[in-house]
Amino acid sequence: MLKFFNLLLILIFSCFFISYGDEFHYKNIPIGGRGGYMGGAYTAVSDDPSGCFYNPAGIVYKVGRSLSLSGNIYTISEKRYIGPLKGTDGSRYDWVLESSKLSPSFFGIVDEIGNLKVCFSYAVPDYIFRDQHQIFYNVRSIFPDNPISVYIIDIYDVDNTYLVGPSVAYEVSERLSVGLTLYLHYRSVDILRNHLLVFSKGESVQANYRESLEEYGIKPIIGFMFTPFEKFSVGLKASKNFIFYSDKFIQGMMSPIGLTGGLSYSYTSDREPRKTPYEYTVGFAWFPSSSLLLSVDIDYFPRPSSEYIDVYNFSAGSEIYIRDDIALRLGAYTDFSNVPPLKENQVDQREKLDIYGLSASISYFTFSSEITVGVGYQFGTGKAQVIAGSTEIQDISYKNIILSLSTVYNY
Amino acid sequence: MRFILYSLICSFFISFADENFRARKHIERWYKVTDEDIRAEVLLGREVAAKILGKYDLVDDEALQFYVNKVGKYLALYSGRGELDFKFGVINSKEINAYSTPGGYVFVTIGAIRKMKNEAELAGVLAHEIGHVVHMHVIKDLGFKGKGLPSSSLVMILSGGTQTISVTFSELIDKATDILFERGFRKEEEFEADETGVIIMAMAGYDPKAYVEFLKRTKYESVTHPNNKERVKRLELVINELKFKDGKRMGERFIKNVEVF
Amino acid sequence: MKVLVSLVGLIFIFANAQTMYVKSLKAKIYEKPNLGSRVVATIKKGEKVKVLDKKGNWHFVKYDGVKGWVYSLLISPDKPPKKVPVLGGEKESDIIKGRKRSSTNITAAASRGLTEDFRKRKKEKYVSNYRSLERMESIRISQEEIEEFGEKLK
Repeated sequence: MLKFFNLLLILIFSCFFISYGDEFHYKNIPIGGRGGYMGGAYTAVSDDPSGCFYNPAGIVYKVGRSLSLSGNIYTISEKRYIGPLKGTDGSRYDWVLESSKLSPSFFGIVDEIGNLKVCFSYAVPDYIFRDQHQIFYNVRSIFPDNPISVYIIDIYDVDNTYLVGPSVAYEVSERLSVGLTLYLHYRSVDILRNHLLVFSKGESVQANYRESLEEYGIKPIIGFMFTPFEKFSVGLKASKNFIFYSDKFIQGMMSPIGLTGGLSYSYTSDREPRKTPYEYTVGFAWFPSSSLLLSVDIDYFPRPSSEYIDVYNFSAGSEIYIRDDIALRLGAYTDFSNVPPLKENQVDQREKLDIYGLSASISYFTFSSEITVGVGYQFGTGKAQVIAGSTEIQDISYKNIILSLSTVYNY
Repeated sequence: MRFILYSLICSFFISFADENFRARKHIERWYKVTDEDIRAEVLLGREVAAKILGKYDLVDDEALQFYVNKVGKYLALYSGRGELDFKFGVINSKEINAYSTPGGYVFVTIGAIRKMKNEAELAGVLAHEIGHVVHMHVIKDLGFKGKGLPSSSLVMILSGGTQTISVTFSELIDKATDILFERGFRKEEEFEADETGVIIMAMAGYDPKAYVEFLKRTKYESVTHPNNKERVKRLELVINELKFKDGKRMGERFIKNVEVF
Repeated sequence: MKVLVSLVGLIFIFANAQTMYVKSLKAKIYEKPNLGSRVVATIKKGEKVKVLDKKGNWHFVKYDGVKGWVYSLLISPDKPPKKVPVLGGEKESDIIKGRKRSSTNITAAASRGLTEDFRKRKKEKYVSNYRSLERMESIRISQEEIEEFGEKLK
């Protein structure tokens, strides 16, 4: 990949590193209408179908059978790289990645078989869809007398992660329950980038980049729920994604017209599964009354290899009933990057973006169902090197708004 | 620090006062008894009461019926079920027995009254039956969980516009009547009614020991009220714990009002 | 540290203080959690009490400045239901009235007892005696009479 971009670099001053997906963060999309809007601080609560994702031990406290569906109505995100391109007049241009999508995020159904609670759930913890183009005019190139008059970047990225599988939970005693979820992990990535550069003297370059990835894994989640005191609950969760199949294919092609050099291309395929971390979460929840719930979670992800760093994430949430049929949920959380901080005088380092999130929702309950409308806001800043082979470091500013709708049906 | 550790360990062996603390406010509504639920309970109980009267008719003694109603309604003040209008009836049976149906229809046999020596004994028998109503034993035995007979279930049975559906309602009535006449309550339910009964009669001012004496004297046992000895033993413990003094027996008033001997 | 502990303690107490309603027509509040102790107050259905503690079947409550113990069966966290109107008339069909798709025929039949026609077809295990039931229901005793009756027991 780098070789290819080095080639491109000969011709132009800047080009863009692929920046996709989100294997650099562990907490991308809020899951479930309740846990998601309590900032994900749900490990010690976990008593609805989305509990299968947060902590399967919690579903023993689900009253009756229920079915839950939650979807993100719309997500608009903007990731802005500040000033990587220089204009001929000395001004700088930002490069902006936008993603907007309509997606389901969770579906789960809980039932009772004898002494066991069982659940089947489907979660989409990561979903990126970008379909955009950006045009820059009069950008400096490596030829001082021949700037780029038009630079078009066309982007089509899809990066989805799905988890699907059964859970089972058992109440060991009044104070302890245990649960296990066995998810099949499937990730599919398709990245398509077309670059078109037209120089002021009439030459042009077209560069295409395509990357695809298919990944299968098994992700067991084991959870425990303790109740040390009345009205107080502690949740513990351990999990890891064991990827057993990975097929990555990258191809690039560049065709200059009017410039020296002809058609060049490169391709690689990679079947080595990526390294994933163990995931540990401890959560605390306090239920002071039937109309108030407070919870916090601490997640710990030890680095899976030396390229990464250890990550701790924190989340806090609350649920407040303002009437016996209306509840508000509020949450705040961190979503830190697993990439080490960028160093000076180095090239091609991965971007590091630390994200903070806020969430709020309102739920309305009827006798057997619940409907929740929520809004989430994520923001963050970070550092990146979007220009291949350059030691320059750019600032990133990130914003994301999520609107969602979720329903629970009890039967 | 050590104290905290100890209390943590100790807390593991104490069970929770409120084990349902995870239930949120909207779920409480599931368990909340609505006015409609209570009407459903009364509706069912009324039908069962008609069945009891189909088997044993009321004793034709207006004064006696009034007197028993006074004792019963006075006890019901302390029953915890202020929404019910309890009705009492003396029925024509030589057996020593008493019945109650959901919604507050309480019956006592003339045979039982003949064996009573004072009003407190009558109050004990009635309060025991009120206890079954308070704890909704019939409804629980019919398989309705939660806090009562959900009106929704009854409406499902009643509505729909076909007669086959009301067959289900009549089956429900028959099943409830079966519990009273044939199956009887579970042992634990009898103890629960006994316990609640003596508390009600004591709060009303009657001497709860009178009820135990009645049980001992009559060896009051039937399909529906088994195991006299065990009940007496447990009742004596409960009464001891109540520490209630100065309970009245009202022997004179009883004899004045019950002129059936 | 002490301040922190007492603060946490306060929060717990605050969170545990709960309002409950008297659901019995009458409820006596006792000085101690037993019936042998002095009655400090007698309260009526629908009145609110603040629950401060719980011990077995007894709740320690505060009512109108008075503190004492009340038997748990007599109070409830929910507002007590209204008195059920006497059945036997039109009133009972209210139970179904509010519901959709209910058949008025069946409703009336069910509340009055099953229809004659229907009863003929089905051989019933038990017979019903509505006449005596109505006689039993016709016995009305006023609140005053009941109170007066209970006076002798004080």
